[in-house]
Amino acid sequence: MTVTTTPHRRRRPLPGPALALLALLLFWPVTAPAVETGRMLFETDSLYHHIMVIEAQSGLRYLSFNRAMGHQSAVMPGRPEVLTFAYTQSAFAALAFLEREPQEVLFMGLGGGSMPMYLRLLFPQARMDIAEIDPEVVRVAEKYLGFKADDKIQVAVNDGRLFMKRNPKSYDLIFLDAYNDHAVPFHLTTREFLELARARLKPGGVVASNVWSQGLNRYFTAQIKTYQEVFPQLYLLQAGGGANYIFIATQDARPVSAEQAEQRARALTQGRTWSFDLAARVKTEYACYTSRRVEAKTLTDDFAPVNLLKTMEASAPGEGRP
Amino acid sequence: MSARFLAWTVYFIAFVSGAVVMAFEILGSRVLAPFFGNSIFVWGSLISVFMLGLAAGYYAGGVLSSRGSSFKGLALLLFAPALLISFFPIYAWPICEWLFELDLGQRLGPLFASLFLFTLPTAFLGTVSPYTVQLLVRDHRLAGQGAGNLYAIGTCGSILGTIGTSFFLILWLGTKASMTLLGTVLLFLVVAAWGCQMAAARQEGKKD
Repeated sequence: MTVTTTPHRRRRPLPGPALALLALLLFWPVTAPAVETGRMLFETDSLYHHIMVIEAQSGLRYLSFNRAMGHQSAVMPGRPEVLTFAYTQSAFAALAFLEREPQEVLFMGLGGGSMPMYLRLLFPQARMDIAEIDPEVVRVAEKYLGFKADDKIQVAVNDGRLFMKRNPKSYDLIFLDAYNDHAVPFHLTTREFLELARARLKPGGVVASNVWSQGLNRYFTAQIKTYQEVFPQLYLLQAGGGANYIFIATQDARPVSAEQAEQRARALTQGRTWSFDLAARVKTEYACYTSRRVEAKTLTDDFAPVNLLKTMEASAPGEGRP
Repeated sequence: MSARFLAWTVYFIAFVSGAVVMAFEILGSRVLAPFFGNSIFVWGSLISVFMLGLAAGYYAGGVLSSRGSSFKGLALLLFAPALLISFFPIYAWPICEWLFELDLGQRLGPLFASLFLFTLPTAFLGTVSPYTVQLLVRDHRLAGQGAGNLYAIGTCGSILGTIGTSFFLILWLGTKASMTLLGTVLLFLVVAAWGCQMAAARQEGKKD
């Protein structure tokens, strides 16, 4: 977020090197595209993002907010069973920590809508609320990415925290995945926010949060610490061994062992056609973090320098690097 | 104490109060987010209210200076925001809570919160530059030069306030303690302005 309050005027022309540096800064992200896998289907500037929809040869469509930062979402329109990203698959592992089938689900952040559409397919009875801050993202998801709201899927265009604060409704499952290109807004990381999320869980309910962290940094350990402080149980799944970690936090104090979670995942698989092996994911990625010691400060509304902490190295947690 | 020393003190005060304005604005976004989110409306409200406060302050500072500027007046003008910002953590959160309960909508909520919380301190800080022009220049032909210097230095202070707060202060102290620090810094400026008042009075005395 940038703030400019004073219009500035240039008195003298800038010298050559300064101009070159300026040009480099301005054009660097554009000249270094990490992912240009297909043709640009749609491109627009919304209130919050530079939204791009890119279609690959395979027919997969990617939603992207930043050319250099990879994609937010990948979908095959009309085929919700295609769930491409590892982190979205790992996020569904949250179901293995819930003792019943999900009836009421909240998504914070819509993206391309791949997760709600997938949940729709597997659990048609589930009612979903989706809080998405950017109205253009909702329009793009509906027009290009096969997302459809209906009588069981309600979209609220609002800040996720505000939506929860205003609506006293409680949920079996809350998915937290509200990112601008690769940073989380600080007010969605703090103890106060997580306490609000916990208060919105039904008994036995589960929060699943996508935490993006390139390696071990102080933001990551602080996030672990904050979840530990608010929730009685915490599990971390490193999605596909990559930079996305799924934090699974439960309202219930009873621990769920790896075996129990795997068993539960197996039970969920029966009678339903999953496009990936849920039980295998749970088995390979399960890690209990409830009592793992981390050296970190709890994030609060008063103290949450999220982006600054990201750049600082942390000492490894008690039982080694996750 | 020489006239030159007094001039440098004026520049110093302009620089620091410029820094405080922007530090206050950056911290303001952190105060609003838990109640009104991080939407574009919050930033829009915040920035426009700061502009409003500064505009009112520039105007008021100009009017006040037409009746003659003094270091004593400057000290008083700085004392108000010093108090308002020092005690900010005490009244800001209840006001935000109250406005949240009123539920004025995604736009009006943060706009009114910004109006209530930020207009007054910003307006007082805005008076500093126009008010101090006269303390720097007695020759009216140099008034433009003095004003230019003050705005340039004040804006440089704003750059430091913005970078310093967003890069460091939020990490070191968090929001509430940073607010208290800003208030304390302003109190220090009050003392500095008061010191200049005494010095200037003594100088006047010597001349007679």
